[in-house]
Amino acid sequence: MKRQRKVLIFLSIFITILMTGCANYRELETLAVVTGTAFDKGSDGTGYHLTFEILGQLGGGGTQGPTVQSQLIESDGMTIFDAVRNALKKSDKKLYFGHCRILIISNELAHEGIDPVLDWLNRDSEPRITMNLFISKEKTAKEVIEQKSLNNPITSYALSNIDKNNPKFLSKTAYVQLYQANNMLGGEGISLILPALVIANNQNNKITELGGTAIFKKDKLLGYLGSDESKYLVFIKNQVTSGLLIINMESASPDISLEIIDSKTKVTPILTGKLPEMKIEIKMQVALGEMQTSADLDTESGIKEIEEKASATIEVNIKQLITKVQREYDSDIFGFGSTIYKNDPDYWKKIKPQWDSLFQSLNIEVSAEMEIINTGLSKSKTKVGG
Amino acid sequence: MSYWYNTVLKQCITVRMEVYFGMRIRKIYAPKIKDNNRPILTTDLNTNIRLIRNIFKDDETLITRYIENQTDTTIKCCIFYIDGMVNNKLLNEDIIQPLLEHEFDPKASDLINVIAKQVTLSGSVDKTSDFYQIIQAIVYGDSVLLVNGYSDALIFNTKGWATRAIAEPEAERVLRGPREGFNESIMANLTMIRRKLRTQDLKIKFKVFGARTQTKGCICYIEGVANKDILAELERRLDKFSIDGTLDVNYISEFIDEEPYSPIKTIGSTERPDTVAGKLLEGRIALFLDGTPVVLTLPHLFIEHFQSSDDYYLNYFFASIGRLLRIFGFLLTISAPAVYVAITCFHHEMLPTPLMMSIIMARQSVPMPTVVEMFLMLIMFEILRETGNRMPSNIGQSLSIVGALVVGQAAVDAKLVSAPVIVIVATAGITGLLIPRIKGGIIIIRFILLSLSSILGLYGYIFGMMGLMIYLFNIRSFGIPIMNGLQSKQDMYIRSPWWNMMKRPQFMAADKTRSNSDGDPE
Repeated sequence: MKRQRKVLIFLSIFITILMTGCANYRELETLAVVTGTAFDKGSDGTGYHLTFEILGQLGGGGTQGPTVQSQLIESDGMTIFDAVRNALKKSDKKLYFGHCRILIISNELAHEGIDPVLDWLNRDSEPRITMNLFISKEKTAKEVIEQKSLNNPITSYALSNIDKNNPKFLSKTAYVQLYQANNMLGGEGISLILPALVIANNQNNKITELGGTAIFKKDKLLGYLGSDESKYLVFIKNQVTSGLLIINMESASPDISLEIIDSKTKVTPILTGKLPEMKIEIKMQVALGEMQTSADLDTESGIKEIEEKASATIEVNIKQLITKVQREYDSDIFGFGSTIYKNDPDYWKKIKPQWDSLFQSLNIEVSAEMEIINTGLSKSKTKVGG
Repeated sequence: MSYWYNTVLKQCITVRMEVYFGMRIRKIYAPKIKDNNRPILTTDLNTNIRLIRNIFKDDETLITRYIENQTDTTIKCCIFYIDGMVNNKLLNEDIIQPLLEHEFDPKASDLINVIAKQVTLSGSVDKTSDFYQIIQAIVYGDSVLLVNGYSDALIFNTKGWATRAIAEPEAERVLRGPREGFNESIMANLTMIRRKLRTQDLKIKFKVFGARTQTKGCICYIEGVANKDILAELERRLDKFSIDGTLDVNYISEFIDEEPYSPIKTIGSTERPDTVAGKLLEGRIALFLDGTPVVLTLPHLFIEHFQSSDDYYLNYFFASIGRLLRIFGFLLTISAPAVYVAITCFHHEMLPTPLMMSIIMARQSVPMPTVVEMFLMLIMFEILRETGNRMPSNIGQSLSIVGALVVGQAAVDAKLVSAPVIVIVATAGITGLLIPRIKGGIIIIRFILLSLSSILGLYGYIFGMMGLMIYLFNIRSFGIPIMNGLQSKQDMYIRSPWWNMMKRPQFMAADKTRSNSDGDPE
């Protein structure tokens, strides 16, 4: 009798546990795994038009098994969340954002401000804060995500990989993840920059590629910097780990490529004078990667010449870039204000209200120190006989 | 008289402790006989014969050999033995022939002592008038000689029956090292141990188990090395239970187990004499039982499941890698299905994207939920494993492998289960076979963890693991916590070189170091 009761109690507990069901149990194939999202303005001027790229399948049935294929779901809504849920009007699978790697915001939306777009992404539990943010330089964000990539079936993942390689080999635009964008948006004395995407041609096919940097003031898009200008922006922000430095030695067109091996930028504010000033020191080690000059500069004196020329090029370009940003955009994308804040918070508090005008007239000193540590496998310039 | 047969055998717990090969050990167990009506031998031979034949009524294997001396026909005696259990050559040449041909001195008064001391050639002779001892001797393959005019009987050690040859144990093969294994004869087994441990400190205490089977067993330990408290506790527990028969040490193991409901055994078992000798040297106690090649060793720590005798014979790097693999395999085999279900059904964000893509593709058009798939395939695997065990060995092995392949591949092709599930089940199954000694425990833990993680995801899995840890840390084997690192650290996760392993397990052995215990007689 006692044992029977024990068994009954055990059974009832066991069964009730099983009967509770699995609140969060979701089979993978019942989910539409979003890989990337493009945000556009609604077609009638209000609300949002979202394009999700999801993992679809191709083929199957045979012995080969299905393969992954990109699929797009478009959805409209008054708010972002509304648009996300409205996708369920078409899709039998619930959208799942845990593997969403990129967000593309359209030019138009960015001009109006991206803060409303980012709120849902930050608030909801599924999207990750490590997603890469892009601004579409084209008319809409949808057409950027629509293009096929070269060899990844999923365009979003291809773009995400391209963006990941950028700081490693290219350094031609900023690499910004969602949480970094949040920090830049909310930070003091720094403005948001985001990498931009454009559509280019490859073998007569359209393809999406990195296209410079988008400049913001507060959360509104002001304009774009080209790829080469972006490089110097990345230099100032001390985010260069590799990439090339192209300089003109002899002619007007560039003739020497230097591969950056190590680069360190130190930005120090000089707050002793009447007005704040910034000192930018760049120390870098490079390798001589390519030499198209007529004279063989692969000598001790030649190397010195190149080093000097390259340092000068960096200094000039950085100065030019800063002047351009100061004049045209008046947005502290370099984070000079936050550098001052980090160095002397009290001083920053005093100048904070006038920072916009101060930034515009900020005096910048740039010094670059360059060391060529190797010249590749060649000992001299490639010779032409005769 | 069958009443006597029963009561005699039930109460007769005295055994003559004679070694199979004629050596003499000693009596250890005093009989507790209360029955006052037990039969008593008389001085009349015919009455005695009738008495014994009555007890063995309906047992036609009892041979009664009546003997009269050739020169003095007044000397009459009778030999009783069980057919098939005695060495006939020994009986004929060393006992019967001398009795027939010996020329007795007619003046000699104490005939039975003359027979015992001067006539027969057997290595071990016992004189007794105890009826129970006589019966016990007969059923254990000894010969009993009754002499006319004496109420005493002579018991000759004539045991001799067929035993299995010494072979390498199937379940515990080694790459290097001794290849002998125990067989079913306890004396042969003890000989193997004695040959390895040539010390007077090796103590062997006999005991009888099973009221009907009267199976001989013995406790074996090295004095000064084994912990006396554990020994006393073992003897206390062995005295506490009674059962009619013990055919294998597991009968005893389950009676004396500290954790009778635990899927993890707290008493070790092995069929290898070298393993037993090694454990004895570490201060453990062994329990032998006649009729089985399996020997219990205790106390048994959890880490011993992962030790193999190979570990001590091979290079210590190799041995350590093997041991780490076994520990990793244990974690893998209990966790793999649970973690797979938790991650693919609850925590999709933990999957690397390429892996998730392939799992999604594999799961297309599979009808059952992952959990159901996993349960079914695990059960299928256990069925295959069990089939492999039960089948006749000549077809069993190949068929089970082929069966596993066909069922796996065919099930995937038929879209009954997804391929990743088969991979996980196979991984769990194979790694489970890595540590065959906790097979049962592994299956139970694996299913519990899988159930928990199918309800709560990783949360449930972590709860399960916590519960398992708490449980394991609570289990004791003869008072020694099985997880508490009482094994010397040099012989835990890795096997240190021998010159670094001079400590015996703490708390277990009275003599704690191996280097200075010389074992010389004082």
